[in-house]
Amino acid sequence: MSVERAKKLVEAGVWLRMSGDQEGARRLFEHALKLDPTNERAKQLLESPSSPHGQSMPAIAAPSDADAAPAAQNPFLPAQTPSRSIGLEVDWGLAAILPESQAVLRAPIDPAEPPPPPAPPSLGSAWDAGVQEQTVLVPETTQLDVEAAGPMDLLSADAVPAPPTAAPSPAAAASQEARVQTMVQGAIDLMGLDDHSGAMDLILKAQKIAPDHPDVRQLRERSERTLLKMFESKLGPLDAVPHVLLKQDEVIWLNLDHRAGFVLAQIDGTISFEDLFAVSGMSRLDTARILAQLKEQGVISVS
Amino acid sequence: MPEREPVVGIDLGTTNSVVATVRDGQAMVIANRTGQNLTPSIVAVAKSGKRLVGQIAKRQAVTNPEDTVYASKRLIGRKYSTERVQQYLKTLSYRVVPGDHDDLRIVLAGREVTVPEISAAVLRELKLDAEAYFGRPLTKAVITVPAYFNDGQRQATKDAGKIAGLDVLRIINEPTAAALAYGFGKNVSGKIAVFDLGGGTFDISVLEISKGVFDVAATGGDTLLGGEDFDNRVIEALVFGFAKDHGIDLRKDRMALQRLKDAAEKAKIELSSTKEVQINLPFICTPPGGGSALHLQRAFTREKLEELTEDLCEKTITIADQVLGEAKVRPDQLREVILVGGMTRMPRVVEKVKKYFRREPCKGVHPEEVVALGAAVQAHALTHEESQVLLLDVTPQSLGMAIAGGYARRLIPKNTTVPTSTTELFTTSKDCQTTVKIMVLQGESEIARENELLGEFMLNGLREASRGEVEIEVTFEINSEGIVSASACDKETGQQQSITVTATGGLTPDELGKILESQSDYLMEDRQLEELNSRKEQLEATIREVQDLLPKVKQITGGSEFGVDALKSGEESLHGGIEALKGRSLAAIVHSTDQLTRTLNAFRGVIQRVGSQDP
Repeated sequence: MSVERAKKLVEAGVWLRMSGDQEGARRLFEHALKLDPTNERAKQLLESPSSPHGQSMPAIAAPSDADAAPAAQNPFLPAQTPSRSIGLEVDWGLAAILPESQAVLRAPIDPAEPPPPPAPPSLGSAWDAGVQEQTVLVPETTQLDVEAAGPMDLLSADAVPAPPTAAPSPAAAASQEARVQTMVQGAIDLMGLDDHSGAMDLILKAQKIAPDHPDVRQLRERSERTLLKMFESKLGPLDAVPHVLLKQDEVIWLNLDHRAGFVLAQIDGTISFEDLFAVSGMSRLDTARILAQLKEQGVISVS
Repeated sequence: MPEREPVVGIDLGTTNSVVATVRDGQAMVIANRTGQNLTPSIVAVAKSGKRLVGQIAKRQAVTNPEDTVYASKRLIGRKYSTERVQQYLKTLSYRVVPGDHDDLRIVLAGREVTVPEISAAVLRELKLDAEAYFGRPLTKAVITVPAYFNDGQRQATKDAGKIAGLDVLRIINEPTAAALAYGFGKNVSGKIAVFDLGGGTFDISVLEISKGVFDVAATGGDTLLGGEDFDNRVIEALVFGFAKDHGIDLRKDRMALQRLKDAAEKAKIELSSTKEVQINLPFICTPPGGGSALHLQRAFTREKLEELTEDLCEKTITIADQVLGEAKVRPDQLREVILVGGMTRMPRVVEKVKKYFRREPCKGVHPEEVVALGAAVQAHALTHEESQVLLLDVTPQSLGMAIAGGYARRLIPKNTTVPTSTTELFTTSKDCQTTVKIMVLQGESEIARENELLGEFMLNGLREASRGEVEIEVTFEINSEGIVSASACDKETGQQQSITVTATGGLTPDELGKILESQSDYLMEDRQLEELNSRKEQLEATIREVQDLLPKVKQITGGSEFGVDALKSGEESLHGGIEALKGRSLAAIVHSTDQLTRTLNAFRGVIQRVGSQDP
């Protein structure tokens, strides 16, 4: 039983690694090893990519300098610790300052070249919107014999089949269900390990495959509630009024996307966090996440 | 002597609203709870379900257009089926549906609300601001409306006041209020012009002031010309510049558009007092396909703004010339010109006005506040016997009746001082006509159907005769309450029929009653929320005090019997208080506050006793 579970955790870990969550993946591999100390794949995956640079995945295209390098360091802010970008329904407002380990998963973008074709919907997520993945990992539950193959063999730029247009066969449906259950299990485990962001990544991947799956939906609601609570607790009292600590010419040094820019523009020392949730035009969770990150990075504070 | 009940004047504007009062003989604006004198007349329901009014509603207007109601003043008291309304509805981002009797219902967060309810939400916000200022309840107000508002629109505004919990002492015309703010009733007689360029509308009125009586001699304007048009020109310029640099149309992104709108308005306002501004909108958009977010940074000059809006400024003068022409008033006949509305701060507008009217316009009072200040002066006059200002009501629009051929015959022209009465003689228009239909109309058109039908009645039993032989005497009367009555009398037989028309704002008494009932529930909820918040604050403060004293008490009582019991109970109360703060139960919060207050008193007692024993 624990051998089976460990195997599923390893698969979930691979998914998580694909989404750029090295830390979450590591936890799952460790957990898998606890359950089944003989799981070679977990050992292998734990050993090889623990270096954050992903050398164990040489086939993954290295990012261009511009893509891999963190955004220009703001001279007015203390050195920033790289934070992980968490995927939700939509791209988070605050662009993550990616550690190289995550950046390597992203394809270089050459403005001179036409954008690569979009990733198949079964493997991509809204999380990835705007960043085209050139390569994809195929998890164990696909038809490939992954136990036999090393992680390097799992990488393929072109081998991903087009999404099926007809109704899946019973066998495919069973395989899909198995994949979803694997991710659900992984998400539950990550939640147990207090890694809610990692859990959310897996849930979103699962939801891409089975949007109406009741377990996934339920888990997502649970995870969102937890995350929201977490972010709100970082903000403090929600009727407090935040202020921007940086000057206008300092703000441009931040690494934000337009949604975070919008939220930041609304903070003028007159409206509370609660009101910001109302005016942001985004979900409460997305807004809370942006605000929590802005506060954490010392961009805003509450007097 | 008990303090007088406070009264206020309210300028319920299309774009912004202002509340003012008279204190120590001086009219003054009451700032809202965010410290601003102007409250946007915008009501919204956020995606979270939160009801938003004023500035906060404005800030999400672009990102949540379907559930943000703006410029509802253009809809108040109007009929859904009229062409004007139908045309206007095409420009709105929120949904409007017909009510049971051709009134308008706005769909807000899935619920149908009447237009007076929307205005009431704005009025209630102003009422709360005024109550916060006075420190006690406010129930009486004078509200201003445009001079061209008909009886229905005035009645609907009164209904809005009632829904907001206000006793509307009087509805007065905006230009009249502006003139009152300048004290013109006392020291100026003659004709004055009021040039009102607000956020969404432009009105020009000529008032005739004589012995303290204000008469609207002429009024006109453009209900779709105002500050927003100027903002849009700035937005267009910024969007065009950005598209040129980056090939991205910012208007397609609601968040970017909201920021552009805010920045354009801010820049426009600043350019009234400075020659150049910097517009900085960092992270305005993320390029398609990803990459770092782009910034919009641009210098904008007054010269550029004037160049972009020259036609708009010119249009106001063309309209003013038209209105004065119709009233047969030459600019040089005017004693004064009053500027009203934030847009009249723009130097180019002032220049144009100066050039056309050939005089320096009055500038002593802030143009955005002048109407509310005048309304406050009138409210004060109505409640204080010593006040001398007399305002006479005038008919806002002409009254007449439909005649043969589909034409309208005007019996009481607009701007007639009420009470008034007039009688005219008519004859039958067909041979052997035994019945005549009297249709009472309001409006300025010569074509009967282009006016508003206030009511109709039949006069039967006329003698059969050739057309033109039977004479009917028709009398129209408006009493001092604004109630219109019309009667028709067969001169030969003395037979008479009449009708009384009471202005309706679109709501039946039953509907108004229901709204008032539900509103009182809402108000109750609101008060409970206020109570909850204030109790929470109290509890928070008590918790902080107990937390501050706890280490000292622990140190003092360490080891003693008191230490064990009192500290344990104190810590339990503290824990209970922190938990109660997280919830919304008023009872739990009150209970915890009581417990912690006892703990606090006990702690203070211990510290005092031990402190006094210390050498």
